[in-house]
Amino acid sequence: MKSYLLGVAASVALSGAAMAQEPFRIGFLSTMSGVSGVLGQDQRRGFDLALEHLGGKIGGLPVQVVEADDKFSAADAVQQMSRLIDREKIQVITGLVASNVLMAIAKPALAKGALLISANAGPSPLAGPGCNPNLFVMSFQNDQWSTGVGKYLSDKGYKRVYFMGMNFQAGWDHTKAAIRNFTGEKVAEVYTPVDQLDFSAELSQLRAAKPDAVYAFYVGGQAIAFVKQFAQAKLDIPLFGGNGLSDPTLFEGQGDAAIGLTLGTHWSAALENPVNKKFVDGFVKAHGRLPSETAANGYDDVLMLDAAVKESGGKTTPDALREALRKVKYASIRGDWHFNTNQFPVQNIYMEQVERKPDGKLGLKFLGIAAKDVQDPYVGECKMAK
Amino acid sequence: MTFSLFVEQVFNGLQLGMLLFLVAVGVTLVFGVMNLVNLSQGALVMMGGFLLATATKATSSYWLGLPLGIAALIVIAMLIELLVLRRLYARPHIDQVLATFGLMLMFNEGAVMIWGRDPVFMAIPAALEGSVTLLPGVAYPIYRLAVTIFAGALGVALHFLISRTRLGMLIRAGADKREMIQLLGVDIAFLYLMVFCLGGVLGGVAGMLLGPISAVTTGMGDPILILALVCVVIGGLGSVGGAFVAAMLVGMCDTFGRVLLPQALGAGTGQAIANMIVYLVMAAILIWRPAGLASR
Repeated sequence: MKSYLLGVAASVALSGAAMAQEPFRIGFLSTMSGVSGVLGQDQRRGFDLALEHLGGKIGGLPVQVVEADDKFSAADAVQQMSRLIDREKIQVITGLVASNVLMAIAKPALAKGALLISANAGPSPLAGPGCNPNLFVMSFQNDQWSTGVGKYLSDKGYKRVYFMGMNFQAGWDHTKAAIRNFTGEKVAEVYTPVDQLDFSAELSQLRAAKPDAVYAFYVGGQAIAFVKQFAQAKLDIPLFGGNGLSDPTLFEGQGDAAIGLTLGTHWSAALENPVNKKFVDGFVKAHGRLPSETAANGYDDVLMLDAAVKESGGKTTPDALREALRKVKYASIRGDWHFNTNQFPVQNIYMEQVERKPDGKLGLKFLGIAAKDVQDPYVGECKMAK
Repeated sequence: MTFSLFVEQVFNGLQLGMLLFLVAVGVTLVFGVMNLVNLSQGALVMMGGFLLATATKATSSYWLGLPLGIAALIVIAMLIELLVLRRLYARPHIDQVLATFGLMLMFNEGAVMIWGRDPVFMAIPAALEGSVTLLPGVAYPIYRLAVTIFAGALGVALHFLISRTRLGMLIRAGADKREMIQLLGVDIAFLYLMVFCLGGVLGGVAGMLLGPISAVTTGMGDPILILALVCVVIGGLGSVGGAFVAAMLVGMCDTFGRVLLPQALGAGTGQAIANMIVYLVMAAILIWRPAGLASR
């Protein structure tokens, strides 16, 4: 709403001088309510902060953001997508925090000729055979974090690793990628239902198997429950995962149980570059805590759109934006990255660790690069790839 | 599976069963006595978690927070009964389902308005930290053991309440012949209020016990409500004893299904069937006894 008002204010201010300047209409479709609502909410906070830093404009154009809530449900997402395209006449749909939602809307939205830019979800089917000229994923492909984690586990000399994940698309993508990139022995590969309350049975099995390390893919409320129960079981085994296993939105819920978790990520609050510093400082000032990874994607999404609209000379039709995005170059909060031929990113994967900071709060310690210029393994199956 | 692992898993199954029983007993009591289908139980589970977390934070003590949280639960359960449920007793079951489901949605979103979307932290009380050695080589978290014992004690207390006290007698009478006890001059409105409070508080206590283990977040009661409804149906609608047996059965089937089936049938198929096992058991029991275990 704030950015919508900013956009309106900007267009009112400009109405004398630039009557012809149509606002850039962006549909922000994401998970804003329900159990996973925290993901979309933080993404929107990052998105709005970037708009604020750009003076309410993208590529010099005034902006109108129409928000739609998919409630983490495929059915709701398809309805909202139709509303955004048919009724609200938006020019691009972005946000898209959830893999299941992106999977559900991709086909019908692309059939309507819409341009989709995911600022979080990166499901594997859309990176391979399902890739599309009008679909860009600017955040990551689901496999990338865990590709880094798998390599890191091998490099650190872990021999026997136990793998666990949530039983849905992102869980399979992440966990299998960690396994593929790990050279030691896979002790077990366990998937638990997405609404499981209690992991006691699995943790007892895990204790009996005596692995050197555990890789786990859990997000949101499940990440809180899993990390707490893992710590309470006093297993004395290091726990690894992707960025979703613990982040500043989960610190409060996980408490001390999160300390020592080692996480793979495509972006870290500790990355040293001026754009990232401006983002992290601005976010901490506005919201009193570090930004999460979805907030970072929301912020970076706006920076990228800004560069793309400049590149296209202010044209915001799907065709113009698509061509501009393919060539886009901008100073990103995560350093250099570029779109692969399947329009998913090629980027570094970093490792960070949850620790207690001197001020008593939980924070993240930067451990370094786990893998350089990681591309997803599906790009070869994409027909756009040459 | 080694013997010690087997023992550990039996304890895990018991603990899950006990929590399910606390949630299920509220639903089944309310159905038995008031003939009301109550889906708002999930909301009370969630409120239990939030209230204890908040009261613990405010008083800096879990043991002070516990009675405060329970007192707040009683008030909320009374308000639900007085303001909403009271109007539903005479209406068809579908209206009751819709209204109590609506209550659940309102509570879920209400929790977001009050506590926000970021989950609330709740730690294990310091006295219950750590683990005990049950058998050589089997270290079991004290908190989980305490949950099992506490929930078990509540179950025993409930049994005495129902079989030995005047309120219990009225509850049993109400479940059998509602019209008759009304004709005998029992204050039925008061009885209903008591029964709903009792059931609601037990559900809320389950949420309180679950808080330190799981995430205290909006909608945390929804998945446990589904399993509790399975227990209510398996046990036979309205039967407390049936709900207890069913909750133990579901707890054990779920725990051992998740462990044994992947070993027996391979990871993929085994895990898929393990996720269904509770519902398969429910289907099998309903074929055998269509009105549940406690049916006469």
